[in-house]
Amino acid sequence: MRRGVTSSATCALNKSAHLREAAFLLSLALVVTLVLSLWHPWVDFQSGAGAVTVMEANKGDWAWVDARARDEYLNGHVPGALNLNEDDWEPGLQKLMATWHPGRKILVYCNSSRCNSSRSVAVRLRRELGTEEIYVLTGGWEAWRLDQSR
Amino acid sequence: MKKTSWLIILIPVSLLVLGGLWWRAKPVASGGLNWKTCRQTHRLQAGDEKFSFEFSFENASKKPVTIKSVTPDCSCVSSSFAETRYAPGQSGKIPFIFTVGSRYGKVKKTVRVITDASPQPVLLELVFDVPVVLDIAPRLLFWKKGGSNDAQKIKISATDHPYRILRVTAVNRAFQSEIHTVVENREFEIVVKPTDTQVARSSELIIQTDCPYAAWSYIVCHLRVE
Repeated sequence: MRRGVTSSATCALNKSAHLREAAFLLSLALVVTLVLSLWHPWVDFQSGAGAVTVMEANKGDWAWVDARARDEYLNGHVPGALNLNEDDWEPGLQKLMATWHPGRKILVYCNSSRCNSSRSVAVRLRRELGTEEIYVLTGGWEAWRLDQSR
Repeated sequence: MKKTSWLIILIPVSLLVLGGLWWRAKPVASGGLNWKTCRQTHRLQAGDEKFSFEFSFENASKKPVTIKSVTPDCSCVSSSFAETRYAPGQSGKIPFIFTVGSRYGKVKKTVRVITDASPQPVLLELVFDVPVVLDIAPRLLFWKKGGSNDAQKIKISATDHPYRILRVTAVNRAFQSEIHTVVENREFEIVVKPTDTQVARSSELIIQTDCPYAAWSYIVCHLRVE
């Protein structure tokens, strides 16, 4: 009888200890989740595609891709640039696939350093063309135009 | 673990958790206005073409605040909002429409709101999670002229719903193609090879599926020997 009581008490103690451990781990997991949820959504803005400055761009032979909206492209673009954006992906992609050849680096730009479309277009092109040789112009169209006006 | 040491850890952890939750839930003061939130995440349905949402705020200051401009960083996010003055205590909403276009995956956008209460713009952050109906890569296959004509693969996966590949056709018959099913109605490989690589040639490869969305029912890939 005594042994039984003792045994039962020990068992209850173990259960309680396990519950406490579980609560502790759950709290830790909550903190980690909270920190990650606050930090995660915006960290990969800069990743996925290499960046190239206007100075570097002027030295290379690039297949230029303009990731801005069509009306912005029509108002002015880098000579020879192809308009390819995610408003209407397929027509631009078809043109690019028909003319681009492996070995020629692709340089994607959007309006400025504040826009994100050049990065998303570059990431998508890397996958769909199966090449890593795709870069993003730092400062975008604004930086290129400023450089040309000097 | 002793009770006291357990408490020493649990109390700060709990305070951190509660503090974090309170911090996330409380309105965000920016541009002279208290915003219900400055960041929104929306999960869209496959086939959605447009998605409406709004940002709510309240003028919790003692002065009127005028929203001068609302500028999204993408033409895919639009708002009909016009310059409006808000009296102290007055609430408001800025409605937006997101046009999906050809976007998929995690689409991140920002909106800059300028008010007359602060020289710093309010940055509203957006994440749209657009389902990938069919993932197809690569869309372009190359063979070197005079090189090996080894078969290459285009991988297709249906991540959201199961679909079937109905037909694969190379417009130029100098390219041969076959459909290999990896996982029934979910994953496929299109195996393609040119009959030879002695001559530079190209072709479109048409992939037809039973997907109800136009963009994914007829897919054009490119094949080139050069």
